[in-house]
Amino acid sequence: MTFFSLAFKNLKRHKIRTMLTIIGIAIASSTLLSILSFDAGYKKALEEELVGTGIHLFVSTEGCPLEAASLIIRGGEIPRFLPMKNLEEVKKVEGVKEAGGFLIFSVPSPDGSKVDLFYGITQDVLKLKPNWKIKGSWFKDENSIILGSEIAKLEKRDVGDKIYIQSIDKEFVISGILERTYGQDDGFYFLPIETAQKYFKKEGKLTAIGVQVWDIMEMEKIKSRLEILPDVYVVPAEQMTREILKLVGGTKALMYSILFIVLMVSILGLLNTILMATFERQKEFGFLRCVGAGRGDLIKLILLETASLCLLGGVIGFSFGFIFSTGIDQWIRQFLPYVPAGSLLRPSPNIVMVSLGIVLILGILAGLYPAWRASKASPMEAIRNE
Amino acid sequence: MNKTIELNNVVKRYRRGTEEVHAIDGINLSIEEGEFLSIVGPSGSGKTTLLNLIGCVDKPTSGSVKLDTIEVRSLKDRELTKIRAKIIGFVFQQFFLLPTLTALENVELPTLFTRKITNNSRARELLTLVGLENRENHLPSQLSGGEMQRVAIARALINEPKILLADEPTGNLDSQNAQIIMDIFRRLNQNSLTIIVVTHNIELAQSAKRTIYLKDGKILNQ
Repeated sequence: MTFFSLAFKNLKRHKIRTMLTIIGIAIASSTLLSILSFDAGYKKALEEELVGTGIHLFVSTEGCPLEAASLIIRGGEIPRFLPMKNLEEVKKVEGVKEAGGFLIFSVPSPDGSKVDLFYGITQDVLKLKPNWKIKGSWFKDENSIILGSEIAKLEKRDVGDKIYIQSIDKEFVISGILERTYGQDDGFYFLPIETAQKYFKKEGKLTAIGVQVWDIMEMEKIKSRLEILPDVYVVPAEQMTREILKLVGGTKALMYSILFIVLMVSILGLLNTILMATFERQKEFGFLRCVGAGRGDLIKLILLETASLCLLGGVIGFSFGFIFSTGIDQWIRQFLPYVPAGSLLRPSPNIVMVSLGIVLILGILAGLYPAWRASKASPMEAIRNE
Repeated sequence: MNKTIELNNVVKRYRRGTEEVHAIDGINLSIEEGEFLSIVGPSGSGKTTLLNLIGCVDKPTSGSVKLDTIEVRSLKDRELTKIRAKIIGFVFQQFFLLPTLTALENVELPTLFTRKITNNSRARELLTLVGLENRENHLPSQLSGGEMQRVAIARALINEPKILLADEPTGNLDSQNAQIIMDIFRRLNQNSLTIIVVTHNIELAQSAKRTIYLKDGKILNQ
């Protein structure tokens, strides 16, 4: 017999009470794992999305840098525009490797059920998107369109097919379909820049310019050089990540508050269970003291009972966390001001270990007082017969 | 014969509210190795307090209690725990079997605290000794009162104690089971185990080699 097997068997005395406590710990563990996975996953998904754009710097008109940069990635309109000539000027700036122009418009469908996102792009954009693989070809003429993979799937269209886009009341011929990028690009309609400018009546205009530099260590210098251009605002991709993370900070704070409450409720439940069990077993502890158990042995026994509950609750909670991570991912998305396309919840062995550590430490802290009470049991308790 | 237990002028007082209770009032008692002693007396006479003192679960207010020549009054909690684990075996009226452990596991339980590595064989031998060789995998809820007390006796013997202290061991048993327990005690005593029994059971008291009568914390006969 070992202390662990004794502790484990003791938990079987009140099966329902033990089960309810384990469920409480499982809920807390699952929440903990999900939130820690989100914390790590969101940042990673955001960085991946920005890397996926292949853009180091975003050049737009003066305004909210976050708005400009996020619109380039996610799609949307900025009411101010850059002249097309800025693209050529940007390309000439020392240190700039590639630069591509975008004209972005979002148009709701007539029934208002969805919003179509249109990207007018210059051919330079291809150089900024090393991960793009186009099935078919680049635009053949002004009536050509390239579809994001999700759009193609949704519309059930293939290369060479015609597509009528209701929101702008126009028919295009599909020259190419983007292979899945697992990013926002999968949901866009791509048009030749001239077509987009003509259709949206913004001839010679761009929403923004994406810039790739030769040496990212020179980013600050290049940014300063670009800022000499009139009426432009330059946002490094890294700053955008920071800004978005700041924006999500409020949601995160709320999540951590919920986590704190869930953990507290669960730990108080655990404390209550163990304390009740300790009070009920004072005579038994007295008996154990009679047959040679030291105070330390009783502390060890109670802490092991607590740790066993935490371990069981943790394992069940983490398993549920893994199983339902996709569902939780979808649910969290509703509450975020900016959601990258990749998976937001990325539980890893490290996160599981950290979560288990937190659950065990909190559990053991909750078990300290009951353990101390148990250790105070007098052997006389057992001999007293009343 | 060696004296296993020696009490000299032992006094135990404690407070109950504003009243001071003289539970043990100047007791002198010597118990020799291999003796079978019964302690009888009315309720409140100090029987249990005397057992507490002999069993190292309490310390006297004054006087000396020696177990195997060790003066227990000056010992610390940890040292008293060691003595309880190694020298004394306890049998209680309420059995105190852990409900989720089998009979065999209950017998083995004290070895957990003495860190003795056992291979079950001694626990099995002891269950055979008390006639429960066929009940080793039964939970306490599957045993009768008499069987539970026999498991408790086997458990008290697992660490090979020198002294067996029994507090009303037949108090919860019918006469048939009480007889079985008495027989076991007699057999154990024949094998030189020192047994001290606090009891109201006259037959059990009479089966001891010596009986002391306590009243108001004093021994009325020696």
